[in-house]
Amino acid sequence: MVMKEIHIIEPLLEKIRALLLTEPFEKHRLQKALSLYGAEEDFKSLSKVPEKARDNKKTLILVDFTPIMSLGTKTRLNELIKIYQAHHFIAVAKEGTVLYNLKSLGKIPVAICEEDYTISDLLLPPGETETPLVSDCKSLKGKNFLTLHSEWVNKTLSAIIPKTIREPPEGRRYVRLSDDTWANVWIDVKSILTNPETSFFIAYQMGYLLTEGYSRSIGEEGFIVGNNIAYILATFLQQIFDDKKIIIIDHVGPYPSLSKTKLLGLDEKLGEGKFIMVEDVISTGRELDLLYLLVFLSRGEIERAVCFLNLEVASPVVFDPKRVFTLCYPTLIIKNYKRLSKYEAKRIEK
Amino acid sequence: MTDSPAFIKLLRLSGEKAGKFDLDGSLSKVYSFASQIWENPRLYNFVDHGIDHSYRVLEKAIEISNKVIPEDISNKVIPEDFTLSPLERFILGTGALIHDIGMQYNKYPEHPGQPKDSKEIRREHCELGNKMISDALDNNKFHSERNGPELAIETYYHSFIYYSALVGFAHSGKEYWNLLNQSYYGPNSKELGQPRRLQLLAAILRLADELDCEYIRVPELNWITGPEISSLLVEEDIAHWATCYYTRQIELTSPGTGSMRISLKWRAPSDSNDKEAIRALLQEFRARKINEELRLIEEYFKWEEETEPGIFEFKMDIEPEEMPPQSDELPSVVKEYVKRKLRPYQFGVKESPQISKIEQTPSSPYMEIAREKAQMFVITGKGVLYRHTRLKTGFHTDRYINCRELVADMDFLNNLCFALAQTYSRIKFTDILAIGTSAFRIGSLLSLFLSTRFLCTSGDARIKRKHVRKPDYTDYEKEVFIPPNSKVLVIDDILAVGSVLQNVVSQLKKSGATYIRVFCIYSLGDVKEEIARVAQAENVEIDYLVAFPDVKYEKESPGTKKCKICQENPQIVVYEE
Repeated sequence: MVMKEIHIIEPLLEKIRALLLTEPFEKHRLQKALSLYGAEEDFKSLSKVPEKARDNKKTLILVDFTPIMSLGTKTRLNELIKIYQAHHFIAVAKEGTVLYNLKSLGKIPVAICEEDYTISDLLLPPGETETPLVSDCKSLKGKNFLTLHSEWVNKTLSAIIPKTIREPPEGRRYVRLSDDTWANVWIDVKSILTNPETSFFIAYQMGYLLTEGYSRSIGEEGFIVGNNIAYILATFLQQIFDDKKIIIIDHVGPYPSLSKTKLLGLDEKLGEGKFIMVEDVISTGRELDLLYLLVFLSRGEIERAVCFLNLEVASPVVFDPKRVFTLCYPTLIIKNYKRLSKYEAKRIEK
Repeated sequence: MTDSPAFIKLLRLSGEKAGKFDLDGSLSKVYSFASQIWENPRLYNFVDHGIDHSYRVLEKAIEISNKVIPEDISNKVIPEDFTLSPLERFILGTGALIHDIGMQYNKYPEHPGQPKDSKEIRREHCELGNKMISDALDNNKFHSERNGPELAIETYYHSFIYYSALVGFAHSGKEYWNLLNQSYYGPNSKELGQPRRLQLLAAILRLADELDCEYIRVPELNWITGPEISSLLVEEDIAHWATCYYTRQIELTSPGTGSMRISLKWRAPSDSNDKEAIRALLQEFRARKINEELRLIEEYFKWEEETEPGIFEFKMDIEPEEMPPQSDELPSVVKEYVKRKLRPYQFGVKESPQISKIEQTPSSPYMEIAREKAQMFVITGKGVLYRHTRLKTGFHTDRYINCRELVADMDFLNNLCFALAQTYSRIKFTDILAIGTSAFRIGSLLSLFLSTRFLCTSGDARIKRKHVRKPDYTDYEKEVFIPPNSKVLVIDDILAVGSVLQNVVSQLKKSGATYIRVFCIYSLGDVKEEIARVAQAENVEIDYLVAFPDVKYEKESPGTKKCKICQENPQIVVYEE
């Protein structure tokens, strides 16, 4: 059975952002969003039907209720479902209170996930037998929702990349990077982050990866970043996990230009704790390795790393690549990506 | 030397508490700290600045407060015959105890015993005193055992000592006084249900400090003629010694609450020429200084809405009194001084605090929280590197403020961004441009609040309207593209010499920005000249959260590539930003 293109609506993301904008001083924003979903404003933001949903022949819209612990009143839910019914939505939920609410309404199809996020069962509205919606629902059965989610994130973010690719000037084949290596194209991550909504979306998806769909908490003490651009993402990530601290060690890589002044007191800040490294782009993994070593020498530890783009030019040497969580692999978009080492570049230049 | 119970008795603090915070116990701790500092003073060229001076200042401060502050009958915390709350009395008392400790520079490890120039001591004593207090706080020196180990009490313990330091060290210079210039410390400020008017307390303490100028501070005028001391004296010292010596009494009278008359009774010498010389000295030096302080306290009362114009009258009389016969002859140094007819106030009368020409961000509860955090960050020295540092702009400074540590504090960030969003929402900015790492964090969050585009750049930004292809990655990194007719909010962490800002603003102008507003957390140094340079471009408004005008920057001279400090101290280690 051919599956349609998927689009996911994330009520939790909307809720966290709304809480941030209205109550920026309240602590435990994530916990609050997870447990108190269901106010009138929440449903209002959810009822904004995305454009893609209008063409339900091509797109399958999933509403991700998996992290949410409870939904609001039945009346509000009913109002929302009226909108959803008209637009061919499928709710995704795990066993628990939300599923109980959705079941009791019995008006929209629900894909039921197991603990490991495998879609094991389907709850169809009464009277729906061989409609296209039923067929869509059936196509989901047996799939892992986390995999579907990460594929969708990869696709969504990859769609932004082409606009931000910069090429060398006419007559030149390469752009010289700050570590003296050459590349035939360069992704301007800064221009992606000009839209704060995109930045927040990326940070939310980083959190999604780190917590397996917000089903677990983060055990590490905080986030650590090695450059300015990653700092922007880490800022938003910290707004979601507001009990975590953030440490910046600027200018670590790829070509380190660390100043002594900025490293003063690093040992104290790290306090022998474990941290998650936030990265914007990983290409050769050099910055990751350098930061890992620097933190290690300052008696801290980088337990995991999360990155927005992974160009997979090379793999980090010191840091275990299995502990790197990546949102987007743009390798398909920049198919002919070439990176020349410093020595190779010098040879060509001559 | 006046003892601790005398202070507690004067302030009527026995058994008083603010919440669970033990006021009298903590005051005793501050007393023992201050009295240790004042053991064996080495201030040969100064009049008395020790514990007894603190006590007299406090006596005068209480007297002034009872005369000028209207009773607040509605507030049951304040007794009927007292116009300050217990918390305010504690802050005033501790402020008086510590206000001059920085004069004992030789008690601080970084400043070993060599006598210093008195001008330098006067200039630096508040800052040094603040360092002493910060160190003592770190070592829990003021913590009364009765306060117990509760975290909430710990917090108050730090805040209240911090308030005392603000009030105490605002008695001289502008730095600490400017910190108090905000509504959070204004007429209606309260804490733990008690009034806590720090501006008022600081103004009263300044005036009381100035009024403690009686002969008791100078046991023997002939001291200054001794060879050891006279070599250290500067003009201002002589003026202080002489005016104190000839002042018999300062009398405060009050025809009714809110009105006060100050009479300076002096001991006129029998020689008519000497008499006129001393009268002129008292008028030009002491009376002028007292009037400066009176204006401050008047300003404070003008801010209160209920105040009727003209109700606060401060008058100054100089009445002659007979001199004791043994000191009839004027010492030669004073005669010489008067002969030169130098105007004493040219040599260091306290300047009236003035607000900088650039605007401080408007006040709101969230802005005040952010402002206080930013102030604490510098005052406590946690965010300041006291080392000679070379900045990327080429300037050198002895105090490097590491702003990124402040911005990493999420409470500060959220309060600031929320407050800025409230302030700037009506302007409808199209872009937010952040300069440097700390500003990246503020700008990115603020752009979410204001739903604007977020741009970021390093300091030496080149902003172009058209995309110009460059072969080097770093050129891309520095470029920022703004469309014409943009309204841009520029965020910078520190406005020091304005060179980075000037570059960015001029590039934005060229790119077609129609309106530019700048926000910076700290405005440092004497920025007026730099602001004038930046503001050459029209429609540029600059807001700052906190000003620290005394942080100075030295430029590297083109020939030697060294700043003045580096040239004078060839061994100095220069840190890089």
